[in-house]
Amino acid sequence: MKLDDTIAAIATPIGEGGLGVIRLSGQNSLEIIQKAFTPKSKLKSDSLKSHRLYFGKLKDKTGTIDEVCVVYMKAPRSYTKENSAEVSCHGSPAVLRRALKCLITNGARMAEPGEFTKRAFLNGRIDLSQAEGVIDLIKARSEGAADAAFKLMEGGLSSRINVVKEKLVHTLAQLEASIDFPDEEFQTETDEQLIKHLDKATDRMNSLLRSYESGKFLKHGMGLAIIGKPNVGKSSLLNALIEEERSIVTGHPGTTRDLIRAETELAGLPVELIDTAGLHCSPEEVEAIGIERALKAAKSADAVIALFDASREWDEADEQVLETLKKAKIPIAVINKTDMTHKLNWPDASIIPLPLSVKERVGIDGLLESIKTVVSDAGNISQEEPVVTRTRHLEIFKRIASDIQRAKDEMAIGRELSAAGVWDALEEIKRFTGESYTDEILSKIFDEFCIGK
Amino acid sequence: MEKFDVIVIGGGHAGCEAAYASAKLGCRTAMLIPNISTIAKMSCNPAIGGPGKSQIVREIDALGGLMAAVIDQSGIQFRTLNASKGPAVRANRAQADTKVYEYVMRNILDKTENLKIIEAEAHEIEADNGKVKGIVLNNGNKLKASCVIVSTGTFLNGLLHTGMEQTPGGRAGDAPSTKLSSSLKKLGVKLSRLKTGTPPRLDKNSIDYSALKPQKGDSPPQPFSYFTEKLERPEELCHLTWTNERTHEVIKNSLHRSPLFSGVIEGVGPRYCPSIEDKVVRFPEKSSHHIFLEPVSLDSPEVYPNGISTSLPADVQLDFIRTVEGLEKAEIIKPGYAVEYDFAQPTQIYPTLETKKVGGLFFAGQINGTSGYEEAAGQGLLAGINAARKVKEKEPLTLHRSKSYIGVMIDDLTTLGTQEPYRMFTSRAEHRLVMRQDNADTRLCETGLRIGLLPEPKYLAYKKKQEKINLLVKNLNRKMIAPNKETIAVLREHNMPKINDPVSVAQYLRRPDVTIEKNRIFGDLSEFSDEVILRAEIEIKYEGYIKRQEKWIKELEGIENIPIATGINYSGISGLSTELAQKLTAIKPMTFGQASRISGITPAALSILMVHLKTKKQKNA
Repeated sequence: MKLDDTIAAIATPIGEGGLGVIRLSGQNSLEIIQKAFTPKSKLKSDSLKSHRLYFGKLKDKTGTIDEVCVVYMKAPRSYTKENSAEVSCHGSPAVLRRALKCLITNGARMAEPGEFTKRAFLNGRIDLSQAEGVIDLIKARSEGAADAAFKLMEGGLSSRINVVKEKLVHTLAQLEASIDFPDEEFQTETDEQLIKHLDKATDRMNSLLRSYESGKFLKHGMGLAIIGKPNVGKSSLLNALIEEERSIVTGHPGTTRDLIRAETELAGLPVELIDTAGLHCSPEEVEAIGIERALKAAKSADAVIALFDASREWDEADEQVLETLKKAKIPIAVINKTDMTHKLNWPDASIIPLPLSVKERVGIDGLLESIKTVVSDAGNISQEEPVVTRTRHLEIFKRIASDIQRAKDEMAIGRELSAAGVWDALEEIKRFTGESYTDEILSKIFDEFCIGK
Repeated sequence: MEKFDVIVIGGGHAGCEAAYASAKLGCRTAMLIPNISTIAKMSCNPAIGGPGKSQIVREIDALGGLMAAVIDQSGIQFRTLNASKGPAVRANRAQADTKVYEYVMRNILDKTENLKIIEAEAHEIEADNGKVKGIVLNNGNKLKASCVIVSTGTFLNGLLHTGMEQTPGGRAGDAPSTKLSSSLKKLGVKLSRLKTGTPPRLDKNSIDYSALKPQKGDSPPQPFSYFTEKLERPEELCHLTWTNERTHEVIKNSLHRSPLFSGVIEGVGPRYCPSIEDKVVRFPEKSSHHIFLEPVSLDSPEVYPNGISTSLPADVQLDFIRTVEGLEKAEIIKPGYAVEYDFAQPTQIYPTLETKKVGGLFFAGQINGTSGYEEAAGQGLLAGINAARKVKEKEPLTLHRSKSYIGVMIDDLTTLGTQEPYRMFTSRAEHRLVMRQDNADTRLCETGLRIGLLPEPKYLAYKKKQEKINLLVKNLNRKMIAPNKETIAVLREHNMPKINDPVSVAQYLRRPDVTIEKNRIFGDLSEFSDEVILRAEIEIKYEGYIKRQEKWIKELEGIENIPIATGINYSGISGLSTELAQKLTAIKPMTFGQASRISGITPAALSILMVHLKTKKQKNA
């Protein structure tokens, strides 16, 4: 990879949109843009001024490509800390491709995936965990996830880890003092006092580690499976929850044979709803496969909604559904079709079902509310707490926690051994912030970047 | 004009090792010293060793240097510090009979082939085209040499302070080297000031020892050198006493007469070795500080009161000393003083100790901002080795920080520079559990033999011992014990912890409450020496930690040892900030690892550097 050439890429997602943006970064950004861009009103100086928006035409040899807005950002006041430019075109893929081609003809090079952020990192604009925040921000699937990514980018996790670091440094200083100055008169803190400091560090680490569970939801979403016997209204419920006709609904039992997935956002979290085949006792072959998948989906889902039919009597299939529900991590029982004559006898007092009628749109909001409560409990979205969302961080944090544990365990055996544990934990912290340089981490991270940022 | 290969300026602890190494490696060597009776003089405390320092002494020994053997022949009390802690941080410390130490060292140097000791002062270093040519002496005579090692201690522009009185001097009674200081400046070396201090020397016969607490050494004493069979000298006692509130009153009332507190002294002193007036001012809550009374030599009435270095006026020194228990009638033989001296910020030298400005010019010891005999000797040895290797046109030797304390010290100095006299601490070494004082031979004897400084018989003795250690470790790993009647009985008989399941003896030994003992559990140990048994035990007990640290070292090695050409044009690397480019240009790191430790360097800058090194490599390939 070279840093002395100028790179260009389409920065907005491929597809039709109102606007599409192309960015340029590198020494010759200004020259390249000026070759292709003719401003509408005459320039007062020879070239575009930094951080000003210009309206005009982007042209190649064959003529005008598009009417565009151009902004030039002189180094170091840009995302990459290099000379940069952004061209806002109309968002047609054809126009954007032609505009990009034009800039490349004028001397730019296609950016590699993640190269803009890579440059921002290499030029000292952001630290490693911030760079990772950018990746997450780009890939954020929901508001909550975007929020966590933004906090990471802002250095929120780094500041949490710094508190741990301070505790460790304090402890290490005490340990080292007793080792290096055996003939001095001063008293260092006792083992018990030092263990107390380390306990505080452990608490911090544990709360960060716990936040990974919610962080996982933020990033990857929460899976919610809807189960029930055939024709109980599962697909209708899914459609009602996401407010679109995602699942095919017929009067025939067993319409849904495979899993149907639909993404939505509830309580600021990405939620994946999974509609499943109806569970019953004597299925034919294709149905049997569908049922198997349904049970599997229920098992791996973060929460399960089980649907029961108010208009029919409790039967063996309902029993099976209830059993499956009871095994779920978070069970939600729902009785549908309350608009019809009530024949169902609810058999289990330990679970209180929610009555509703999908057809009449009665009780849907109540269900949505309880799903949201469940989701936000699971996501534990607090406005302040930054959360761990990356496996790289989780791995490092786990190692830090175990190093601290070792330091505590070995305090009694020997302070030099305890010091080794603290030292290892501090080294891991350096890996997290990128203070300790390893080539492999970098390449791994930048492989994740999508083009344009 | 007399010609040499290597000239060593100075005959202190750095100079002696440097001259010896250079001569031993086959270079015609001259050692210059203004007063020949001060060779290897212990200008301050009469002791060698301590945490971090004892590791250096044993590393010198493993490489084929002198300090360990000399202290073993002149030591009058040997003590293991941190004995209650684990073996990784244990440290030897020995009181020296300083006169015997000087005598033994002088004797070895006198007998060293290729080495000429010249009583003279160097006034000028001559260089041409950035290369050393030789030196000019105080009498105007010139000596030729292609390598010059400067190890002048506190003599460069030395200034002694006792109260408001200032005397130019390198040490009490010895004149400073002022001309040499200007000569270095002319060569482009940038000099700054540091300060250190020493306590008054007391007359043994005026001290009332009857009330004082005596301090004994270990029995049996442990030698420093791997090759010392037996320590011969009878033990001498040290004594312990304390300052009191009256002492502190006297000091507080005289602070206006202290050069330290009146701003006369500009140089920075060591934080870890403050003067007594500094301690009294900085820790007003402490009503007493300890003083170790250490004999300087059996042939001298001088006693070194460790803990009260001072630059107060002589009359104040006598006043406060006489407030101390046992010292009520004490007489001062030589008052204490502070000394300010020139040093060259060590970022001006490569990890080979050669200066960046002048080829063939090496610096070792206090001129590099260090403090301590051991630190000086370690550098002197490496400077001597590298000057000789340069003469013989061989690759220079650099010691890595994952292998030795000498490597840690030199990497710290040449990468970060220093703001105060640099002393070694074990906490400076990140691989402390691997770099112990017991295994300096394992770490460095191979290197000592390869460069030709460690004589082959010594190497073979090391090798034999190492094989024994390895054998015992293997035996203990293989031997199993089960909780049967017989074993239980033996364990009970020797008051050792119980076992519940069959385990290997090594596993059993890893328990913190188990130590190796000569009984049936550990098998037949008769063919192993105590040292071998102890080291096998350490290897086994520390195995987990050693493996973990070795894994770290290995992980880093790939990046750590990527070489960087010293001629690289940093300002030409795009993306590198001007400030960091300047820093890199000044320090000229020799490896990527060294670059990564430069202060203020960012991971981003390292990435850019890495990209540059990689693309350059591709272009060349």
